[in-house]
Amino acid sequence: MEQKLLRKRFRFWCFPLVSLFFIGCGDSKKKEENKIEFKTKKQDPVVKNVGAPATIPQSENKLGRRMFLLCAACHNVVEGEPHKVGPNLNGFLGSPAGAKKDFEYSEALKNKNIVWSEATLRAWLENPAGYVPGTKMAFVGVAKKEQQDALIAYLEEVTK
Amino acid sequence: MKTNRRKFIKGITGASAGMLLPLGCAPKSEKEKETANAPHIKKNNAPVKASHDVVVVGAGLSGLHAGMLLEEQGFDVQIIEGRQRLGGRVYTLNDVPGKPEAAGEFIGANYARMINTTNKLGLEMHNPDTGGGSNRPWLYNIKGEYINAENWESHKFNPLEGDDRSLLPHRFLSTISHRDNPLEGKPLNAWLEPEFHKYDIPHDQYLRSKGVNEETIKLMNVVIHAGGMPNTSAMNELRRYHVMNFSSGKLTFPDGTGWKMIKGGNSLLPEAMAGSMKNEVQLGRTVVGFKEADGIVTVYCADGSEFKAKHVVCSIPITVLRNVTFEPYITGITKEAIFNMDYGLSVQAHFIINEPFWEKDGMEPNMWTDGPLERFAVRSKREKSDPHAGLAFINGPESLKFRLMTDDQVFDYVEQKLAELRPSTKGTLKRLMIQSCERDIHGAGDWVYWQPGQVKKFGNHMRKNHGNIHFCGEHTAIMERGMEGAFESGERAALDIILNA
Repeated sequence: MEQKLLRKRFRFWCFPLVSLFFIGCGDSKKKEENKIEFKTKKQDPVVKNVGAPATIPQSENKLGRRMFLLCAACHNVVEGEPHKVGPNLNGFLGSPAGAKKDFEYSEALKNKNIVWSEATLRAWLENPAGYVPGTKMAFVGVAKKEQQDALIAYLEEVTK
Repeated sequence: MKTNRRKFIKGITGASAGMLLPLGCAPKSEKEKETANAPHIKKNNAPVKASHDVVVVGAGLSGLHAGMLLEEQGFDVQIIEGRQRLGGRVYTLNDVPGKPEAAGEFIGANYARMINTTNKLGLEMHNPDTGGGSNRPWLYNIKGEYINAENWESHKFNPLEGDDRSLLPHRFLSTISHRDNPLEGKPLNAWLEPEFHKYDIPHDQYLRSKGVNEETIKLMNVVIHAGGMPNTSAMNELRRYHVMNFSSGKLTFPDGTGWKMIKGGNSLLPEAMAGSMKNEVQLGRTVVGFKEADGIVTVYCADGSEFKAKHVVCSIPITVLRNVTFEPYITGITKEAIFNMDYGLSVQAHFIINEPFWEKDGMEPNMWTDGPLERFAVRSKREKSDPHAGLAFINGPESLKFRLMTDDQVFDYVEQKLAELRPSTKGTLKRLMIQSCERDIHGAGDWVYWQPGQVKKFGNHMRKNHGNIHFCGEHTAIMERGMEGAFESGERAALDIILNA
C-alpha cells in the first residue's frame, strides 16, 4: 500500500504549476522514491537528450512532410540520429513493432505482435490508443484519409 | 459571469494613459529587470502598422511554438505580446532567492515537444535541488490544531480507515480522486467522449458516490486548484490525474529521472524560442480587438499599433477574451465559453525570513493548513549565502479571496493570518513580491478548469477557429496539460494553418 502511495506522490512531480509545493515541501524520502519507481538504468549515450540532431527530410510530398510535423517532436527518421521520446523510425517498415533494441517500448505494443505495413501503420495512425490500448505514444491520431495517405507515403519514403 | 474589478481598473488606467500596462504581480523595478532578462528583445514603444502572413498573439509557450513551426514552413510570422516579458506562465522569479519558478516548473519525461524544442535550441536541462523545503515534512494545522506527520495516522482528525490512515492530508486530493479512475487505460483525449459525460458533475458529488466521507472531501478541497469541490467537474480532476499517470513508470529521461528543469531557469526557454524568430517578438502590444474582412484580420493594440495578417494565432487565455472585441462577433457556444470558463489560481506571497522562526518555537517550518493561508513553506537555500526565504502559497478556494486585494493588502492579510496561526513569525518576515498568474490584465490564472457540465458543453469547442483566427493555449489542449499542453495547442493551431495553406 505504502509503495503505491509513494508512486503516486512521485507522479505529482511532473505536474507543473501546483507542483511547486508538492516538490518544494515534501520530505527527504522523495529522491529515493524516485529511484524506486523509475528505472534508473543507464542507456547508451546515443539517446542522450542533448543537442539531438533532427532532420526532417525534404520531399516532393508536401502534405506528407507537413503531416510529419505532428510526429517530429518524438521521432527522428534519418539513420544514425538518436531516439527521442519516441524511437527513430528508420527502417521500421516490414519489421515487427517494438523491435528497436535500444528503445524501451510499452509492453502493450510489444505484445500486440504487429508487423509494420501500410495497413497496420494506417490502423495505428488513425487511432493509436484504440489500436494498441496501453501504448505510451500520446498521439491523437489522423482522421482524414487523404492525410493518412500522405503521411504513410512520406514515412515510406524517408525511413528507407 | 465573474468580473474582476482590479483588472478592470488597471485596464482603464493603462489604456487611457496610452502606456504599457503595469505588471500587477511584480514590484515596480520589475519592468527594467524583465527587459534586462531578455537582452535580445528590444523594447519598442512606437506604435507600428505592419502586415504579415501570420500574427501570433501571445509569447507564451503555445504562441512561440506555433510561431516557430509556421516560420519553419516558410510563413512570415510576427509574434506580439502584451506584457513586458516573454513566457506567460513560464516565469523564473530571478529576484527571489533560489530563483523559483512562478508557475510552469517541471518538464516531464513525456513532454516530447517541449524537450525537443529545448534540445533544438541548445538549452540544457537538469534536476536541481528544487529549493523548497524538500528536506522537511509538513506540519499540519487542521481545525486549529497542530499535527505532525508522524502523528497523523493515529490522530482523531484523520477521517480515513485502514491502510488509508497513513495517507497524509496533502496527498488526499490526488490519491483519492484517481482511485478507480474511469479514464485509466484510455487515450488521453478520452475525457471528451460522451460515454464519460456522466462524470461531468461536481467533484464532491462524484466522491460521495464513491463512498468518500465529508471530512475527507473537506481536506481534499483545501488544495483543489480550481473553484472548490462543488464548482469543479469530477472530469476535470479525473483527467488531471489520468494525464499525470499516463506515462508514469513508462517513460524517463535517458538518465532515469522523471522530470527536469531548464538550467538557468525555465524562462530561458521562451527567451530562446523568441530569439530564434526572424521577426523580433514585440512586447507591450496589448491586443484590444480583432477585425476580419475579405480574408484579412486586423489586430488592434492598446498602443495604437495595427497588424494585418491572413491568419492570426491567438493564445490569449479564454477569460481574458471577454475584454477583447471581435468583428464579426463571436456568438454561440464559443461566446458562452468565453463568459463562463474560469481559471484555477495560485497566490504566492514571497518573503525573506530574517530570523528562522521555527528555531524559536521548535516546530517544523512548513505548514499545510485548512485555514485561510493553506500553505506556508520555507525554501531550502540553493546557495549558502542566500537568505532564508519562504512563501505563502494559496491555490485552493481561499485563493479567490485575494482577487480584490492590492499587493499590499495581500501582504497585510497574509502576515496577519500567519501571526495568528504561528505567533513566532511576527516581525521575522520581509516582503518580497506577490506572484499570481492572474494579477494583471494579460493573465487569467494558472490553468483553465472545467466546471460541472462544461466538459460536455465546451470541451470540443475550445479549438474552433473564428474565421482566420485560430485559438491556442493550454485551455485548448485535449491530450496534454500544463506546459506540454501549451505546446500541443500551438502545434495544432499552426498545423490548422499549414495544412490549409
